[in-house]
Amino acid sequence: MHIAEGVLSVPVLVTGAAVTLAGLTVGIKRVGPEDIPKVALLTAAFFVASLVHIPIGPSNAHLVLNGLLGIILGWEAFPAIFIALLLQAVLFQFGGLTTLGVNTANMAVPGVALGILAKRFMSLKRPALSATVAGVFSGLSVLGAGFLVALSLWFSGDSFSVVSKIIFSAHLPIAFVEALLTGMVVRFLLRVRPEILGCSVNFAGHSLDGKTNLICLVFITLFLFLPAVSHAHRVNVFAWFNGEKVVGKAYYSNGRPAEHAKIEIIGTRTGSRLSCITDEKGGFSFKPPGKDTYRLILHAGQGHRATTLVNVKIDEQTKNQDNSHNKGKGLSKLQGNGGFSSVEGVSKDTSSCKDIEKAVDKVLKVRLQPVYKAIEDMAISQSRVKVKDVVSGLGYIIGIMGIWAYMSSRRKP
Amino acid sequence: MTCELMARGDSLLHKADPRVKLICALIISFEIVFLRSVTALFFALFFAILTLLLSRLDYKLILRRLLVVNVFVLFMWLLIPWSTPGDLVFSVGPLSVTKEGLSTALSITMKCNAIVIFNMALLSTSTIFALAHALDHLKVPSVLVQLFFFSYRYLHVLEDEYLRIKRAAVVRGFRPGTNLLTYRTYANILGTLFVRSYDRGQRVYWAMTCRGFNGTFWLLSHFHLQTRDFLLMLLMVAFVTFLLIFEWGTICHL
Repeated sequence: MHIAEGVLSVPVLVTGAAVTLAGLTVGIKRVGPEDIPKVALLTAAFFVASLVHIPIGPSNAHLVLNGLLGIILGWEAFPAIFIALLLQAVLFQFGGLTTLGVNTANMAVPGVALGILAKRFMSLKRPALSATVAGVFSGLSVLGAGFLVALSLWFSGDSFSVVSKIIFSAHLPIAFVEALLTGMVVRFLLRVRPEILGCSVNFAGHSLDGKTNLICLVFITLFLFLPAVSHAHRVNVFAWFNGEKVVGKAYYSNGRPAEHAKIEIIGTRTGSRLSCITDEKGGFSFKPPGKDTYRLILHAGQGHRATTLVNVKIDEQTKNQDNSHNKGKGLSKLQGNGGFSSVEGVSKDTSSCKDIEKAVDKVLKVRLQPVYKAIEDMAISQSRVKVKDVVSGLGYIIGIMGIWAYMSSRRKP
Repeated sequence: MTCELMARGDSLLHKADPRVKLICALIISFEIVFLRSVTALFFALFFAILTLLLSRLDYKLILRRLLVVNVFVLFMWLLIPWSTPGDLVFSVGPLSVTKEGLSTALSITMKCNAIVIFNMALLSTSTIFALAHALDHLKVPSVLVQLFFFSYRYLHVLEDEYLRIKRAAVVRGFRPGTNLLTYRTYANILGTLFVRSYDRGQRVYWAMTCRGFNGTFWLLSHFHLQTRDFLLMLLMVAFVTFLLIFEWGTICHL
């Protein structure tokens, strides 16, 4: 959960510090003298609770509890998380002064936003619904925190593309356990001391003004779109051989061209190496040195990489084109002989044939351009992320949860 | 939970004014984050170790803390060298290690260790209460200082509370495992902890109100800068300047 010192870039640190400062300002304004001991004691309680290790399979994880903190304290969770992290930095050297801002923002922003929204659903009349909502929202706020941690790393440089993915994935099981546990804690609190959650026996539910609702809704929508965003930056490269040159296009999976990206070209058989750079529209072309299968590796920055293979068979390709032009022009004497016999025709009347060849080559190039274009567009639209991909991703998660539930139910006697 | 182990001692750093130490730690941490040249980072690490020697802390404790930090650094070393695009140095199977990756990992290792060592020497040699005191003198919002103060004041009380509840559960045959019963038990333990801390907060507030608390954090003693504080400041200013010179020198020569 913590990002250590010396890893993040300065812009990320400054942004995190600014967000934390804003959150602290709002949070501190809401803490009156009568709230100070309460907030301080809950901060200490959360500090202790976050040291508790919950077993998950062979390993264990400690709880984050930013969601529950958001539900109980609302905006006051901002100073609470800040204080807890400051204590950890001084006492255990986890995190430090420079990363305090980023770490606070990463945990508190999803916690506070989702917590305030979840608090609306806390009601003594519907304890099951309250617990479910609290559980789901706290799971989401752990995921949100994980996403923000990954994002801070990702923005800090090309080096962290793999690290940020691993860190985000590590948050998935924690989010699941956290959701389960927070739901149960909320159920417990509703039974034992509902006023902690802001509801008393004669006042069920919590009302908020429309503006807060809107802000929370925006946050929720953002979190729901996270999978789409994380997919949006896959990069693709697509290339073909047009007779003399290899031409192609590089684009992100949302259809945006990858401009000024470096392309490394390696011949798989000869081992020859080339490179070129894409233009504004993501297009590129190069002249292959000989017959080979070329591996194109696209480096689009931020660690984005894509590869494709292009088969270059110089002789056959030109002959095929000759053949088609012969057919088109109705040179019937060559038709019967089929594909590769056009050489004979050339030898019979070299000068005129060469002229025709040149002209037709030119025409063919122009004529075939739309076809290439269509193929290219088709490839782009196919690789674009669709809603169904996102839905199937969610289905995948639910499926894994289902298998886990099945296994755990079987284990019981 | 054993806290404030490093605050024990009577070295120059332990006796120094916590305001000076706080400001020095802040400035030098941010400076190290900014550094890019390897020479400057090397000297940052060297200065950090020099400062740590001044604190005369128990080296076993220091090594234990550094070990925890470097587990994270090791994790970075496992991933960054091959996941950074750049010039190829050598390849192991499908993974190609790049020059940029190696230099990033090295710079992270040095930055992380240098900052953590400076923090140990400058921050952890003060007690939390001294730091809260210093924060109040440095005009940090009073609410924040009070939250910091009270959170630490009740941290150990609540930890004892937690251990007591947990012991009660263990005595009744609770064995943690990956099952719903464990999760429900933990949820009830945490819920009880929150209820008790909430109630205690209420009682603490009432007790404080009885004694005239109105939100003001009164300070009865004040810090006075002494010769050793100026010496410490001088040393830190020298470190900061040297690092700037090294950084500036290397970047300009490049």
